[in-house]
Amino acid sequence: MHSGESDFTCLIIRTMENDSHFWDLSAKYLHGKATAEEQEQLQELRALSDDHENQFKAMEKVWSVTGYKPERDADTDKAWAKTERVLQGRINEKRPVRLLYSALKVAALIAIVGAAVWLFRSPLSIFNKMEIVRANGKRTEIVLPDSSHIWLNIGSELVYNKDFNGPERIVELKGEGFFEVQPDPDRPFIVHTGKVSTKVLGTSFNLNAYPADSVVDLAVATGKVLFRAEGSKEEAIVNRGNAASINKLSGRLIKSNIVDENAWSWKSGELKFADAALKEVLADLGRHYRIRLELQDNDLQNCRFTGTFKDAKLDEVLQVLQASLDLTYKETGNKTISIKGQGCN
Amino acid sequence: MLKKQGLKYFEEIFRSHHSDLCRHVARIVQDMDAAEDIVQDVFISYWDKSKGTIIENPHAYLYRACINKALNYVSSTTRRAEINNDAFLPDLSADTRSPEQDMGFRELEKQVQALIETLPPVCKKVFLLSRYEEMSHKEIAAFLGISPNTVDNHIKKALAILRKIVLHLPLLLHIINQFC
Repeated sequence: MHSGESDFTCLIIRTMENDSHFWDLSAKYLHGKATAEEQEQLQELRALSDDHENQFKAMEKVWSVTGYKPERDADTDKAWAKTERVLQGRINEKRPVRLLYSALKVAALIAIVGAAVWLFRSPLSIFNKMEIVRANGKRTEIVLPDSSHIWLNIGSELVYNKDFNGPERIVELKGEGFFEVQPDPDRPFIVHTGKVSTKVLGTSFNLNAYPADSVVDLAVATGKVLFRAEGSKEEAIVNRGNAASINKLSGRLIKSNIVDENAWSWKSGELKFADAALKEVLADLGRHYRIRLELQDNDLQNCRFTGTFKDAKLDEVLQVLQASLDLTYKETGNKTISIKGQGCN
Repeated sequence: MLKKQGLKYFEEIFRSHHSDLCRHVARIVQDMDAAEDIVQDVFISYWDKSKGTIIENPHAYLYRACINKALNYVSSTTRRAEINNDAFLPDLSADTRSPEQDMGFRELEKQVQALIETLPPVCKKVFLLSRYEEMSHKEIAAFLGISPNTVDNHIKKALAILRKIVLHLPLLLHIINQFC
């Protein structure tokens, strides 16, 4: 800027001092917004002073060369499409966090549902619609929802879920039971007996698991059974005609050969012996009547017995043995009977 | 879900204010493309600030934000660079003018615009608010947060500077006066 122009600027500024009102009035007029009254006032002020008139003329000229009107209207549709893309990007940026939250929510839901399912399926759950069958005073036959048959020995108890619809068929046994499991390859049948589980797909077996006993005895009639001690992880597949026992305290699993129908004689009440060694006979009797029978003389080892008992009392059986094998017996303690004899030739 | 609803509502707000805001901004920046960019920026930063929760009547906020951004835009160096080698000029009633008159008018407008660009920042803002937002001294003072006296000083300075170019172009002014 040159000095002459500066002087000119100063002159204009000075002459316009104290008159912002005139500016506003002029501007309003130039914008076409002045009322009739304001227009009249403007005319008066312009006539009153050359300064006002000059300022007005200057404003008018500046206004005329700065009278910009947009060359087109705004394209709102296009602008929104553009803006929406940007905002959508903003929303998507935040999605990973939201997804994480969602994942956590889903995980929490799964955990809750899982816990609920577990509570429902757990045999001990109070939330369970559990069926409890007790064989009080007599042997009891149960038909489960899947058509499996279970015979419960006297004093035994079976617990299972009424629905019985889960991926596994789970029952809990206290005492002794004979199971005829309906085959279903997709849904294993599992018998929980404390720390021992017995898993089958479709078979029949006897399970002796009285809580007071230190062992759980398994005898397989048909098919095969997975017999497992949960604590020690010892397990064995037991085939038909074989037996196994697990010591509940040690978790030790012992397999034993050869079982016959007498292993579940309690079910029918029938004991059958066909040229059986006396030792086996006494084992079967002990199991059947839940007593201990002790051989006092090794000479009795070679005695063999053939005969059938049906719903016989222990005394009757012992009297038959006494007569047949020329032996004597005596109750020596709590549920223990000792047997003596000359032996058989 | 909430964010989606926010977007839907946001669109309503956008559509009801967009063209009006663009018109205001375009007068200040003298360029509709730039105006649309500025208004979009304002809407997006409003979205970011509000986090999708739109206040009921955001017009005052949006208007203020747009005008401020427009004023800053015309004060920015990039804007200045644009103007200096500018090919664009607003086309005022082009169909009523002869090519020569049109050339003259364009030339004048270009020079006035260049002069507005050279005004000191506050001075420029005051003038633009007066000229295009039709604000009174008082309103300008309130908008910019300065005293009415300061507004008065700036506005007179602006007029004085702008008047120079008008006086230096008597021929062109004559042409223009014929049309005004």
